[in-house]
Amino acid sequence: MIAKYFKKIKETLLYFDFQPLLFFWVVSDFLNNQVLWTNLSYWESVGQPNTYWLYFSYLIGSIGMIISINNIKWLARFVSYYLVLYLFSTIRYLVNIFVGDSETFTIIDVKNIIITCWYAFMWCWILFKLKKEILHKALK
Amino acid sequence: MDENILTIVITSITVLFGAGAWKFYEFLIRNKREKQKEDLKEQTVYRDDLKARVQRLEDDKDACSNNLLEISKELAALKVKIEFIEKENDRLLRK
Repeated sequence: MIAKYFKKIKETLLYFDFQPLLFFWVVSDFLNNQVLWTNLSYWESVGQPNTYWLYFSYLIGSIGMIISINNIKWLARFVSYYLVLYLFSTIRYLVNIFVGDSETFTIIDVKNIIITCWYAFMWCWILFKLKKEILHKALK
Repeated sequence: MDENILTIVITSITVLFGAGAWKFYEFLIRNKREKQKEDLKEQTVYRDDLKARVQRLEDDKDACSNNLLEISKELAALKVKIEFIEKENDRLLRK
């Protein structure tokens, strides 16, 4: 019964369209973007002006994905762009933890690493599915 | 090394590695599809050959049927003629 359940989950993940889910996810991501709720002076005051521009880059990616949700080629380009940004942030975070000056490595850091790697994996998976669909359409 | 530069270098390597892995996967899928197409083409050639052979046999069968019909007609005519000749021969012998 459990094996059957996981088989169904696998089939759903493999064969079902994911654009609606991606759409809702990206809209949520767009609404949570800090550029909408803060401004550059706030990030300058906390000593992280680059973070504002990173969020701004994410915002461009999110808007691009929302706009091109019906066009799989452009959607793949925006997802690639978003994934590169996400990889950059993830690697920046990991580099900061392992190379930075912080002395303590807490359980919170482990949790954050797992979550951020999981999201990176999710975006990789979305991009792979999109590229695979484009490839199979091209081969038909 | 500055953390930002290190991050950019690692990100670039990751992206390049990912793009390379995707290209390799694409190459495998394209090869697989080409092989499938070739197999399909072979099957299609065999099917078309069978169709042509069946069509030729059908044409031959029609021609043979027509010939048989002609022969049957001629045979029937000849039978009638022979019967008439036999009757005529009997009549002449009785005279």
